[in-house]
Amino acid sequence: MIEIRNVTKSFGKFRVLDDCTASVAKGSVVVVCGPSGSGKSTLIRCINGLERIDSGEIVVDGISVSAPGTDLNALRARVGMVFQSFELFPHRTVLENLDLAQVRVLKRDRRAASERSMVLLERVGLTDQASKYPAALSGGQQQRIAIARALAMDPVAMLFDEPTSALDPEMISEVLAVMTKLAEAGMTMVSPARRGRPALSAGCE
Amino acid sequence: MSATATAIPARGPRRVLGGTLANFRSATLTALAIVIAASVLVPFVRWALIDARWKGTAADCRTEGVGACWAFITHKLPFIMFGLYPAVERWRPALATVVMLSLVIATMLPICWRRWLIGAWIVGLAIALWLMGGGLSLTRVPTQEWGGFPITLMLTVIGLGGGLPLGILLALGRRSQLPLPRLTATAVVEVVRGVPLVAVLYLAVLVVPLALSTGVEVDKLLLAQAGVTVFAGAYLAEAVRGGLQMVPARRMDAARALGLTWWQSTRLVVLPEALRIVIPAFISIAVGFFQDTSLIVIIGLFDLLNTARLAAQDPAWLGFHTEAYVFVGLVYFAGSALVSRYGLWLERRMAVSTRRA
Repeated sequence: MIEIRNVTKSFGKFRVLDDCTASVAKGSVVVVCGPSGSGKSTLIRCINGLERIDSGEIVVDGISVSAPGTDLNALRARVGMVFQSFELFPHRTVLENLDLAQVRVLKRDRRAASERSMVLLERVGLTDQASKYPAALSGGQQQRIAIARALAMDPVAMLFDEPTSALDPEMISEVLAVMTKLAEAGMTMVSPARRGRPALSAGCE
Repeated sequence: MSATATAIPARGPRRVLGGTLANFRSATLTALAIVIAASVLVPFVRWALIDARWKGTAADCRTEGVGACWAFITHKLPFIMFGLYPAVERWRPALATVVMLSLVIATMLPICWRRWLIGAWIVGLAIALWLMGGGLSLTRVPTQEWGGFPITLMLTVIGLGGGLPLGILLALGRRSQLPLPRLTATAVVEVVRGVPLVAVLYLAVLVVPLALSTGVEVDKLLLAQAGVTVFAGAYLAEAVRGGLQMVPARRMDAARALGLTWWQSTRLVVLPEALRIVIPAFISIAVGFFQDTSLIVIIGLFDLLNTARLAAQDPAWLGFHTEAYVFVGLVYFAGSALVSRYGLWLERRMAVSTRRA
């Protein structure tokens, strides 16, 4: 599903990724380990082309991310991403957050998009929050909605960029529960974790 | 800090007086302030209200002991409001004013912030311009004869309405990674902001026609309108840029990660958030701009301030300058104060809507 081959990435003189090679099979869950600053987020961001790689190759579902002709927008629409700080759109309601890219990118009509959104809100247990603005919700709720928003695009894989690091301890479990359910349903997932922090089911030792 | 700062504040009149009379220095300052206020206010109130003449002729106003001559304003009101516009056609600028004010009020109500509002503006302004200029079964009135409040209003709303999209483009250009848009936008913003509005107006009205080929007559009002629009655009651009900087770059990443293009992400995610942040700055720019439009007097156009000044030069009513300026001052103050109050209301409303469902 995701092939990372000899990838190198530098910020100025600092080489973040040095000849990095990895493979993520379809339906598998890969946890990227390492202390903070070791390039986990950078690797994740390279997979959907938010960062450009200097050399090497990343192939997602048969499409090369780094090839010049690749339609990155189309690729990103098929790879879900969840951020550490949720990044819901604050001026839009929860439902509008979920609908936006379905309507604009996948060209679903609004009713079909909202139906899909409600199914996913149901899956993360937040249907009753659909008409609220993100600021009215707890961090754990916002992150579950961010996951639902990514899933609404029917992605082939999900990237998690430290999804629980910005959460209070009591909210981590609700997000992990959603992620575990997702993994059990066979979603291809990549998620970094810091050592000693509760990662997904896998330990990072 | 004085002792009053740490004491639990008392309620009612004691609190008001307690702070101002607490010690000798406060008491002295309070007394001084009252004396100064009274010495200004009392004569003004006598002049403006008690001794004022509300009806009658110029001769009545010139009798001994008469204060403000509001009869002058009543008599000259059509001229102050509409300038040299042909008297029988004054219903047209009046109606145009109503149309433009309705658009402004609609724009101020968040419930009207829908896509149709842009269409309403285009249609409304077209109607207002048709009413002013004529054609299509209305007598033509050249822009030289336009004047008064409609001119002030038109310069303000078209200036701000055209300045906002221009400002957004300039702000985006200035933040662009590409050198050409960045340098162009930076140059425009810095040059226009670095030059007084008077100079921008001179440039628009005197230099631009010279630069164009001779024989091409460009309307002076149109040039002035273009000048103030660019001026508003440059100031709004800096406000928008400030707002864009407040939106974390991660928001753009999140939008891009969903597959939205750069334009879609900017238009649907980043800009709406940025523009909300800068509403207070917009309001203060709008109020300042509304007042700045009076500078077009220097290129000989008859906005509200200029028509009022001219009204006091009418031989029949010679010399009632004070009344003219006080009246116009009140119109500007009323407009500015209303918009400022609106800004405060809107800020509170926005804060609530992003905090709760």
